[in-house]
Amino acid sequence: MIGRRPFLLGGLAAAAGVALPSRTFARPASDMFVGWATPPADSLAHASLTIEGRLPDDLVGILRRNGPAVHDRHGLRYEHWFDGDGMMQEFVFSGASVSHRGRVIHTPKLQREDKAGRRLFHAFGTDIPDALPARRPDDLNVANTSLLDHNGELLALWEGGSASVLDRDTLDWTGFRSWGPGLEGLPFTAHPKVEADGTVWAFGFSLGAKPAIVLYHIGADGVLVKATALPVEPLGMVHDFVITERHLVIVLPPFVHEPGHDTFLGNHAWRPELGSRVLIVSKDDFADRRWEQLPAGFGFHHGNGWEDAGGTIRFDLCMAPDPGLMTGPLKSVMRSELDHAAPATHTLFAIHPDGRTRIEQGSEPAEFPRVASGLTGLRNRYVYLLTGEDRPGWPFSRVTRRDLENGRDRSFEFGPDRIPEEHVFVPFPGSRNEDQGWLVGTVLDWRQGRTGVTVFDARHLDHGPLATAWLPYPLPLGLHGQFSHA
Amino acid sequence: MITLFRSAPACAVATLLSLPAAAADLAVTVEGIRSSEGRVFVAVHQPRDGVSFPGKPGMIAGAWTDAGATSFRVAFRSLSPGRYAVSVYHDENGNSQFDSNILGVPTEGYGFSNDAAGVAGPPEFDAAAVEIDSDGAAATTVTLSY
Repeated sequence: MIGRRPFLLGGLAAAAGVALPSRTFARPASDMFVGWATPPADSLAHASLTIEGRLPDDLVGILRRNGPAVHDRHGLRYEHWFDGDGMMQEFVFSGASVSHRGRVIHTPKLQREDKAGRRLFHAFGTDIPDALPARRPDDLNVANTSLLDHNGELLALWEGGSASVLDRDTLDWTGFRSWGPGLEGLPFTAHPKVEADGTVWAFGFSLGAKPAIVLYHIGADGVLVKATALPVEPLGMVHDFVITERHLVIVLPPFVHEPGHDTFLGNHAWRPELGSRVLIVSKDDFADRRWEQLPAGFGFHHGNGWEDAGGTIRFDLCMAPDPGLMTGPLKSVMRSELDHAAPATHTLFAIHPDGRTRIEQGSEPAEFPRVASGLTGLRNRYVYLLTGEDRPGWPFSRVTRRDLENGRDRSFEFGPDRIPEEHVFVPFPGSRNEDQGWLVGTVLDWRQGRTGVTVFDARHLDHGPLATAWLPYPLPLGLHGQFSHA
Repeated sequence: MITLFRSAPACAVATLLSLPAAAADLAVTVEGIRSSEGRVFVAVHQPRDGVSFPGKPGMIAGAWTDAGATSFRVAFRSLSPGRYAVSVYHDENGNSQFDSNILGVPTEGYGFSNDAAGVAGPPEFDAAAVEIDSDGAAATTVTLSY
C-alpha cells in the first residue's frame, strides 16, 4: 500500500513522453499527495502557461526552483520527501508569457543507479537493501535542495556534499564545484548567503570520521577568498545560517550524529539536554570565534540576520520544539498518509555581546522565510513567508508579509485545495525598497492536478495574485528557488 | 623509523625475486580509469602488526603505470604463499601523492583488491585479501572509484 495514486499518475503520463498536453492527464486523477509523485519523465516542457489575471510587463527573468522529484525509480519508492533526486524547474517570464521546462539532475549517483538498474545507495531517510558503501559524501549527492545562480555559474545545491555545476542551456549535470585544492568534495550548504556586492558566505557540515564545520568566503568573481574546517563535536544536521555585517552565525540544533544505523536520518538522535549551540565567527578572521547557547529547538530556515552598533546579533528562525516534522509527517506523506508534528513558528532571537539572549516565539506555523536579497546580512523590516494552521500534513496555506516593526501581517489564503510553496521577492526594476517588488512562487493545485506560478505585489498580498500562470500538469513539491533577471 | 619503512619495500622486492620455485604470481586487473592524465600506482600489501591497512609500512611492492587505456593488467611475480591485498590510486595530477581534501576524504580515484570498500574509509585487510598458495597464480580486479 505504498503511494498508489502517485504511482498511477506517473504511469498514465509516462506514456505521453516529454511534452505533456493537459489531456494526457486523466482528471480528476489527483489527490492531495500528488505533490509527492514522481514526474512522468526526466524532462518536462510547456511553451506557454495559461495566464489568469495580468502579468506585469516588466517582470522579466527566470524563476528557478529545485527540489526532490525522483521519488520512484527502479521499482522502489523512497520513504522520505528529502530522498528524491533533484529536479531543476525553470519558469521563464518574458513579460507577456511564461514558459516552463524541468530537468531531473543526472548526478553521478543517479547515473550509477540508472546504469545498474537499481537503487544503489542508502538515501536520507530510506534504507536500501544491499546498498553499496558510500566512499565519499558525493556518492550520495542528489543535488535536490536549492540553487545558486552566481557569476554566470548555475549551481544545484544539496548540503551533504559538493555543489553541482549545471549547464545553463541544457541543465545537464557537468561536474562538482571545487573551490580549490584540498576543498574538493567538502559539504556545501543549500543556503549560501550572497551580499549585495556579490560576496558569498557559506558553510558545510561534515559528519565523517572528523566531524567539522567548513566555512567558505567566496568573492563576487566566484574565486575562493578563504576557507577553513573547524572540528565540532558532537555535530549533526545544520540546514541554514545567517550573516551579519561582521559575523557568520550558525545555530546548531541538538540533533546530533550518532552512527550505527543505515540512513542519514536514522543516524541522528535528539539530545535536547545539549541545548542549541551557536557558533559566531568573524567574517574577517575565521579563527576569531565564540560560542553562545540557546534553548533546544529545531529549525530549518532563517529569514535574515543583522547586528546593531552595540554588537547585539539579531536573527529569525522558523523553529519547532523538536525535529518531529522531519521524522514524522515528511515520511508519512510518501505513504499518502497524514501525520502531525509540532510546527515551526517564526521566532526572533537577540544575542547580546555578554551572552544574554532574548527570544520572541511566534504562535502559528511558519516556514520558508525570505527577505529582499539586497538586505542579506543587513537590518530588514519585512520578511515574506508561508503561514498556516496547525494541522496534520502540510500546514501552510498562506503567503504572508510580516512587518517586524509592528508585527502586522498581510496575507493571502490559498484555500484547502492549493499548497503554496516558497515565494521569493523580486524588486521592481530600479527599486531598492524592500517591499517595492513582486513576490513570486509556485502553488500546487492538487485537486485539479496542476502547478502554477503566482505573482503578487509584495505590498498588497492580501489583494491576491496579480497573475497566476498555470501549467497543465502538476510538479512535485520543491524546496527553494531564486529569481534571475537574465 | 622512517628510514626503515622506506627501505622495507625495496628489501621485500629483492627478496621476492630470489624466492624458490614454490612462489606464485598475482595478476591485478585495474579497471575504471577515467582519464589518461597522470599515472596509476598499484601496491601489494601484507598484514603487519600495528599497521592499519593500507598504511605504507605494510606495502611490499609497487608499480607505476602511465594512465592510458581505461584498464590494464599488471603481474607481481614470485610472491611467497600467503595473504596479500592490493591498493590502487590514480595520481591524475601527477604529484606522486594520493590527494585528499582537508577532512581527509580522497579526491583522486582509488580502489582495492576484490573491489572491497569500507564505510567512510578503507576496507579491512581481510575484505581485500587475496590468498596465494604454493601451486598456482592468483588474480584480482580493482575498479577505481572517483
